[in-house]
Amino acid sequence: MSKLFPVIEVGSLNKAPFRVRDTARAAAEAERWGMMLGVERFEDLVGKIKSKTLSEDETLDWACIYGLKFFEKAGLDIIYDGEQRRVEMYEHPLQYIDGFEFRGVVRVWDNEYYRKAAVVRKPSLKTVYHVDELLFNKKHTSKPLKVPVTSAYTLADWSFDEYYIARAEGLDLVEKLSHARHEFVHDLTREIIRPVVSELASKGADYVQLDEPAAATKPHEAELVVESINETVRGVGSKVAVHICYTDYAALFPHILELKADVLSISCSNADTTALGVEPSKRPGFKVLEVFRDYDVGFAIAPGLIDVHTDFIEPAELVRDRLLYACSVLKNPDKIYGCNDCGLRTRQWDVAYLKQLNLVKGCEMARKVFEG
Amino acid sequence: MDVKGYLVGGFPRPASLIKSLREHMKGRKSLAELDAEIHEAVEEVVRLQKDSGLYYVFDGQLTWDDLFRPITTCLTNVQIDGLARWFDNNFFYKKPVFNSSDVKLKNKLEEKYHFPRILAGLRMKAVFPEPYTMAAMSESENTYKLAYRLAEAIAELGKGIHDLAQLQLTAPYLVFKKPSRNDVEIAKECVRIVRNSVGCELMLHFPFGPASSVLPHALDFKVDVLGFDMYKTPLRDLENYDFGGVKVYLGLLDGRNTLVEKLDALKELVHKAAELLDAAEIHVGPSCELSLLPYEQAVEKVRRLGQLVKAAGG
Repeated sequence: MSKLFPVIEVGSLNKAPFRVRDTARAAAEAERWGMMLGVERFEDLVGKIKSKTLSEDETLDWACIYGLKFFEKAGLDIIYDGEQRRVEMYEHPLQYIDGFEFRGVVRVWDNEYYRKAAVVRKPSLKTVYHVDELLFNKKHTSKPLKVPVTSAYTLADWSFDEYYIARAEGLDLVEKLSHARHEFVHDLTREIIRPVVSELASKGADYVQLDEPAAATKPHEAELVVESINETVRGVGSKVAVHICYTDYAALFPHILELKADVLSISCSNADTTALGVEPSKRPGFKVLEVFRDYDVGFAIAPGLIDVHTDFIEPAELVRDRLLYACSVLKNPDKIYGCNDCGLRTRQWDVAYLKQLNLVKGCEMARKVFEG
Repeated sequence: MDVKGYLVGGFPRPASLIKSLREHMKGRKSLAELDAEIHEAVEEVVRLQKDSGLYYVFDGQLTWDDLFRPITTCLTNVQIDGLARWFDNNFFYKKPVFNSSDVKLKNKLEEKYHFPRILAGLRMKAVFPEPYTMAAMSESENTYKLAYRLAEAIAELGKGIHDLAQLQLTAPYLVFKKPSRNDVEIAKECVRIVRNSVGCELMLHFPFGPASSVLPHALDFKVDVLGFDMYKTPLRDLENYDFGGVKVYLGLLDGRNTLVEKLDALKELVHKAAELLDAAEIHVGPSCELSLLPYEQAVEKVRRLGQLVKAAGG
């Protein structure tokens, strides 16, 4: 993309505001957001909500349209639907994959839990997923689309293994575990994620975004992460984005230098201050960029300019300063995108929208500094 | 050969307790009702260990949100901050932030965090963080100074638990990445502070990292048992060390995976380890806390451990 600092979304949005049980509120929200975002024929949706004739499929279709318009109207350059059809990034893809069984809930922190599955036989694809979603979205926007896909390593890391480790031979538990792990990730790459990504590319996805939040969890497996991503995208026609958030990025080096991606989006603002300025003391969250500069990575970087874990609306000037500081560290503004730290699922739409408006505005302000 | 089996960290909460804690937070369940359910769940976990023939029994830490939180409730000058990853797990602890390294014990461990009455008459164990691990994983102006203060506090907390048969200090920070020599020396001194205060068996357990990160220095720690994560430590890596009178705990059941290990394979490993280490007594159990598993699978792991103790011992 020739534009300086193209602005991309990263993934999820909260459920569209009209997806509530209270009919009056649902209709009012559908109308308010429909008008604000300029959604075509939103009156049809409002009418169906009021007459209680809106089916579940229609609800999801409309939610995707609203999600697309949300980013489009805010002025982002590369968009998607806010993952309105997806449960979340782990359970959703497992619906389409044979070979996993849910085992129960495990704790993430305090008293918060997620359902975790075990691989019990070699995974196989029941049906290619995300493609219908892409085809629907293409009909409803002219903007470039970026489809988020949970990548193989993260699916493996977030699952138990009752198949590969049981097949691994020998007495040494460390060797068995390592061998099993490689087989599991490679099978998920070859049998599941690569076919999905290839199909998305062939159906015209402008970008495919491989989500790898688990990428740096186990530093000794950084090479496996990169191998898996590279095998996934080998020869596909779409541009490739990789999203890795809230982690120790240094743990991925030097293996990440081999990453075959166009852009890597990372989180920075969650660890940053909200003070204006381009001095290092004001921008601690962006110190992480130094390692990418020092290694002179070949791909573009999309530093998170918006903290998605707070309702604080970053002023456009703060977004500008964060981006200008990122430029001063990375030295190459042509290889920098603007984006959020992560998906905006945890924020209400009103908050998320204001954040996106200022993201776009802040990037425009930074662009003017460079373009004069 | 004498084989002793026991757990080395928190047990997962049963679904009913997860629900009750949520209901209590929303004001839909009284504290008295919640307390009764917690006691019932702890009794169940204790019964499971006892019935499985585990040598030491503990309360499962069902009320602990992470390994540090209950400790921080006993200390001055500390607040709890945002989430941080618990080593290479998809579990996050809340980071203690110390306003000053001059930390003191302000009270004993609250009743909701330990259950001596349920454990009365049993060989009771308790699990605390190794002081240097806790200091390094907190925020403070001086990690080393904080580690000493935490060691003093943890020593007092340990001393305050009557009839304790084993106190475990959990030290993943010392193996996850290779520590500096200075880090090891500070950790050693912290353990000595605890050692001087508690008379029971003292165990130092190293989950989530290879023993090679801390050996041979770990042999100088004043403890009775050294515990290793055998999913990170090849058995042959222990072969060349003289553990002297220190007993070795082998984390042979994967505390992070639901697959229940085959009994024969476990038994073979125990015998091989005893031979390699030339040990008449081997301690065995999970590689780490079982709270990283769903409740039902953790129960299965404990039962398998009990079977292993019976099959490999004698």
